[in-house]
Amino acid sequence: MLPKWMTDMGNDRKSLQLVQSGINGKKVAKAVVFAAIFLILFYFAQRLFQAKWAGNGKTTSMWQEYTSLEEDTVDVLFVGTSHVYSAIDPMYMYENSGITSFAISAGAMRFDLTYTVLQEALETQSPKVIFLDMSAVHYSHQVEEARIHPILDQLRLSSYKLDFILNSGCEELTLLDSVIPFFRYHSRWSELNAADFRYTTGDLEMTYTRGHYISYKTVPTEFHFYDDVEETHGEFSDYLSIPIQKIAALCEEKDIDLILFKIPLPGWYEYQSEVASELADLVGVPYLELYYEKDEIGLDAATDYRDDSDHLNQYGAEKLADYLIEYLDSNYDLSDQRGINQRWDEDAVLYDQLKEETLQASLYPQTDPEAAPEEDSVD
Amino acid sequence: MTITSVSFLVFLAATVLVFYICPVRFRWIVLLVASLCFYILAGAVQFLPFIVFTSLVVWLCAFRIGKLYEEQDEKLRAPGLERSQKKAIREEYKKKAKRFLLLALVLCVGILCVTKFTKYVVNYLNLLTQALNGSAPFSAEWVIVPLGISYYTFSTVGYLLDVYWKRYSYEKSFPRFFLYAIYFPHIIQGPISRYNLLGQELKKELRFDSQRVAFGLELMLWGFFKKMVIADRLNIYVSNIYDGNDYTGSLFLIAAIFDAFQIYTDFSGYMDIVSGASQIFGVTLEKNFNHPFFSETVPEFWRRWHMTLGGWFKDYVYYPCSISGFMKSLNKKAKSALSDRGARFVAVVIPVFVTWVLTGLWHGTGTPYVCWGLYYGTLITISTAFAPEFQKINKLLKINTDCFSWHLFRKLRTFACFVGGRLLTSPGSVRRGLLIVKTIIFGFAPWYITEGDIYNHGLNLANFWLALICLLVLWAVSMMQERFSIGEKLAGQNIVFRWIIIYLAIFAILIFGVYGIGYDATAFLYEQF
Repeated sequence: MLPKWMTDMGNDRKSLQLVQSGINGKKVAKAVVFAAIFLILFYFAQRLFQAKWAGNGKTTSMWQEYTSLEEDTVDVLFVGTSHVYSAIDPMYMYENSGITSFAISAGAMRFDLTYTVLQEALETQSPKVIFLDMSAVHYSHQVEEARIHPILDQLRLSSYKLDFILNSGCEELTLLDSVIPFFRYHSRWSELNAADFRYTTGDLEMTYTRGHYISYKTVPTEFHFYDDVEETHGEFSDYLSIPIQKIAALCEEKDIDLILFKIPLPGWYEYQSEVASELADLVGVPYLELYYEKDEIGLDAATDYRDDSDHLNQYGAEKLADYLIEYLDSNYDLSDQRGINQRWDEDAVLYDQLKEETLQASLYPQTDPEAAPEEDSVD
Repeated sequence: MTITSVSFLVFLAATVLVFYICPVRFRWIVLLVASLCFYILAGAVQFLPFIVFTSLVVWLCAFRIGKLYEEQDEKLRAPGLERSQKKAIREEYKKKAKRFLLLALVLCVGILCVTKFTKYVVNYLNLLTQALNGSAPFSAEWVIVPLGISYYTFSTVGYLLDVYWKRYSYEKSFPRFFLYAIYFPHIIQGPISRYNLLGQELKKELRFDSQRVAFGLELMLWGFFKKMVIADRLNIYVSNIYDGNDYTGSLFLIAAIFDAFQIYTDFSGYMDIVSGASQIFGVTLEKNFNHPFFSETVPEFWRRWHMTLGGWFKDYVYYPCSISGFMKSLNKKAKSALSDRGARFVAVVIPVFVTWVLTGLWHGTGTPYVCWGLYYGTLITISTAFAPEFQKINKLLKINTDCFSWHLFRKLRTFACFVGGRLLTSPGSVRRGLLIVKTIIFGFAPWYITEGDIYNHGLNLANFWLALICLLVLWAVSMMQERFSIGEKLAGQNIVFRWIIIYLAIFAILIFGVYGIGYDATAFLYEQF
């Protein structure tokens, strides 16, 4: 029998004698209702606590925008790291050519994660061309858990996602945290804001830049060509070649042209370009090293970059977009969707407004700080 | 697999399911298998031979002792025996039984001592040889400390002594005895169960009772709250401060107070979790804590803190020491040489110090733990031996000892004594502990609190205040538990209110619990023993 101390949390002999019954239907029903209510509450709590990367060009909003697009309406995908959302401006390209494209990118996204994201992305869109940014070619094989979540959290639970989690090589990335993000983010309780609470019952405000981050901030820099650095890569490391090969195989399976490309960065190492080129050779696809095209693109290191991490700003992104439009026009027969796709036309108007507001905010930052979106730093 | 991990909850759920699916007569076997699985899943498969060996040795020796006593009783029942003959028979069998007792004690306590003290001894030997010839030839790297060794050794040795002292009969079935030793809710951190209680609990018909299961789960929730929300949060601050150097007295004082609450919520939280888990199976574990911070004296504190360890030392060390031949002869000499009071003092002081030094060594090896034992031995001796003087002082100063403020003062004084004891062991060395005390007294610098520096040591403003709020909750719940049964009160409420409270408790743990990335996982402090 239970001693008195056990009754501290509520037990005693009398009550036990009162309820000496086994499991019956009523108790099972009660347990089921209790569990159901708990699951509902947990679902909302998870939405509340889950980290959100909200805003144009940020991953939660980017993926929400991507998945909200009508199926098979995107002809070109640009995939890669923060250089992609900084340098690739799909809406500008749409306004000037009618080509529908989208920039799927996340800060420091490695190729293995890119492959997983692409698998999911190609479930709803059937692009004709995919541009894969090779900036990740110099990333260490060490994976930072904090770098994975911004994009991985956006993907629905699928075999692709599970496969990545189980094989990422990142010890901190656990299956439990990925499947139930609440466990990863519960410590956010002291930083919850209005957007977090709004998100519990609805989606984030829909963005319209097709994954692009608009920034008019300018940090003057110079082009540095490092061709004297002795770096030997030897055989390709598996963490580079295997995902690239998988991406190539996926594109081949889906009948998509894959192009490896490198956005022109001011600080450039020739050996990195060689690695990227050899990877392209390995999978038999073209490689565009745009550093060599920087003059043709018209990039000016003094005006077209926004930070010390060599990210292009809006001025640079538009110059690059002009170049890419020309490249696509010369090599692919992509249809002009302007006036056909209403959603894209409406979003283009919003995009122009945002661009103007961002420009004004960067030109006159003190006039009305509330008028334009904050120019925060994203990587 | 730690007790606060999801894998433990899955393990527990699976065990409960299998347990209640099985017929009642096989349920103890389910617990035995589950306990073995738990020990293995806790990463202790390599230690399994140790617990099997200790259990087997104790069981065999107790079995032999029990059989000897049966034979003795048989012989004593023979008609026409003289008193002297009976005495001779008893002595003969006592002698035989003692051999088995000593054999088991040497083997089991020997293993415990080797695993716990070898490193300490080797360290000192190396220091000695280093001083003599500059080399350190000894190594203690081969020493391993089997999981839960202090707990299962004490539990099983307690059983052996009880059988030897004829307090109860021996266990005939080894699997039943092994289940008592390895029963998963108490194997890692206790409580140090007595065979006549837990062994009997495990033998009774373990049937499903929804109310008891609900109470068990509620108790587990409270345990998780104490461990994951309070203890692990306080640990962040305490570790940060104790691991650092240039802190002021005010920060050290807060760390010392937090440290006391941390060890309490950590250990008692664990007890609530395992007691609740055990209750789900219908097995009652012994109570290990009874709101020790409400104690007004140090002896009372130790009757409320780690009660099963205190009880063990009282029954198997203090009393045997008090009535040993050595103490009897010493008391005789003391009575002839000293006053009555002086003789009583001698009679008390030696067993008290022996008990407390051993209690200190049970908690850990090294000077800090010996000092800790001496510290409590001194406090307890003073409080009992000089009680009349203290009463006289109170009368002389006309102190009202029957009012709230006096009781509060006594509670705070006892708490301060406990904090003082923790300062001998918690910071890592006695010297560091004394340095902290010195800094608290001579370098208090309260402006580090008012200027907000306290928020820069692991707990930011929000987490610091949450810790304080949780301590208030702890106090409120403890006050209520002193007066009535919370679970019983809750069970008497409407279902909506009841469920709201339970959901609040669950989400408080899930949200405010210190777990996962961003927090350092904290092992239970008492697992090391």
